Amino acid sequence: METTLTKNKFMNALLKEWLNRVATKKSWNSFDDIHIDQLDKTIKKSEWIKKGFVFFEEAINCGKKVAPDLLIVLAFSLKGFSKYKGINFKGMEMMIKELEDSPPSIYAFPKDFKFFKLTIQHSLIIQKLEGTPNDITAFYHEFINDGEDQYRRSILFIKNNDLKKTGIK
Amino acid sequence: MAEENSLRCFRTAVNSGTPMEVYFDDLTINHKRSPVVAGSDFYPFGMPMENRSITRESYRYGYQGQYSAMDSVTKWNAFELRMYDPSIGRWLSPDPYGIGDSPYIGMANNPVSLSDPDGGCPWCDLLDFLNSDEVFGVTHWNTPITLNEVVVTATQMPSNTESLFASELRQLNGFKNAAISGITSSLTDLNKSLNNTAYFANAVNHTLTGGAIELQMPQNNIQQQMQTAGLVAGGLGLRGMGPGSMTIPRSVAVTPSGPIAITQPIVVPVTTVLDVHGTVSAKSPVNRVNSAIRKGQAPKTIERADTGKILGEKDHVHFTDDNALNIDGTWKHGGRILTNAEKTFLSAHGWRLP
Repeated sequence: METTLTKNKFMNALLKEWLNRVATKKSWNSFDDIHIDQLDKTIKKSEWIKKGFVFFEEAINCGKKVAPDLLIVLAFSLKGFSKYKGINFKGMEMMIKELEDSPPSIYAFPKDFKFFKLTIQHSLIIQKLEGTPNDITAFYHEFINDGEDQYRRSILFIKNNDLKKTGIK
Repeated sequence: MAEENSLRCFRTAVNSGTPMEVYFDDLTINHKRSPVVAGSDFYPFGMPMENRSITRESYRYGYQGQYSAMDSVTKWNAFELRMYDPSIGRWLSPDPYGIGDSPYIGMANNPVSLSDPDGGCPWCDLLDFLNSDEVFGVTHWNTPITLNEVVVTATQMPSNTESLFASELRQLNGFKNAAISGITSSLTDLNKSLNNTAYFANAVNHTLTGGAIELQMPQNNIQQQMQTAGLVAGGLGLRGMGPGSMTIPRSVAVTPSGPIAITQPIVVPVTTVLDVHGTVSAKSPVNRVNSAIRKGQAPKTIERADTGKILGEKDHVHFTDDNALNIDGTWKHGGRILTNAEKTFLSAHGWRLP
């Protein structure tokens, strides 16, 4: 119990520090994110999705106090392929197999941050992703850069309330 | 055989239209010679040795390679100018140029050292060889050359070594202005060594600093000199160059049963087998870094490389101290002076340094 509390305090402290940094230095411009393994060094890949959402909620709560103007986004990197893959998973259980080796990370952006809006606009909204909370919207993003041989795939989660703030429908 | 998928993948990567680096994971390439399909050992005058032929595929040429084709009935070789009977070592018609001691003798009676590509000139290969760059590395024989590195290996040196050597060169090889100086190694039985083909052939490949031989040989007199220098008789001249040095690749061997065998060039198809195994991929710098980290080839301070998840976000590496460096050398977050190991590794994997 004591260990859990200590971990939570540590996690909260890191989240606050990170959000402060992003808000004060405007480091969203450099896509300043925090990976969940920075918040909990003991986390395993099999827990990335579950813990990712836990930390996401924590970050939202911290954000309300530290940086209320920033949108909090949870992002997962998915494995890339040489051909367009599309959404090849129905829910969180299946998504685990698609995860890249990079632990999920949490971003904080202003509501009008152009790169985030562009990403959302170029993403597919996943209507029903089994295992996700109802108040969260999932965006699937897949693209390839010139000269690269693999598509980049990621899935972003954002609270519905925050999404409304962006004006994106 | 190469795995088709691998080759296809490689081709796809190369032909993508955009210059890009292609990386191979765990790639091994085995370059194999294809199997010998035809070849034969011959007696000195060209008669094939029994049970010493490879005949997986038919090959029209035999003795002296592509210069002749053997008639399957008469077993004679059809050279360009005349027919040749290898069982007796004689041409079946006179020499069209009328040179040599007899118009019928094959290879000037010296088949070990000479070849006759068309049936009219047993010295042609040698002359081509002498006019080529292969002889002592010089291009033109009508200009004086100096050999600064010559060695004759032996255990004792007679007092007249230099003059004897020079005399041999002048008399047997037709080098009119041959002179030798500076031979300092011990020689023994020089006359014997000079008559020993292999010995001299080896000798010119060794090094003796301080030795010098000046050779002058007008190109238009080469053939005349070769004949008058007693090439057929052997000695330092023709054989001094050594059959192993001839342009026609040919080796001489003594078989256990006694006869000298001339091994002709083995017929090897020009195609070779490229055996490719492994996963071929055009790896991104991120994948390369992560692969190196997994293999323990990265500095311990580099934790992971990530691709950008948001449009505009750059690929980046995470350090164990929570700093993160973008691929373009800007700091994603944090910032510090990189160690030399980090700089070397990141530079090698496509990162710009801050």
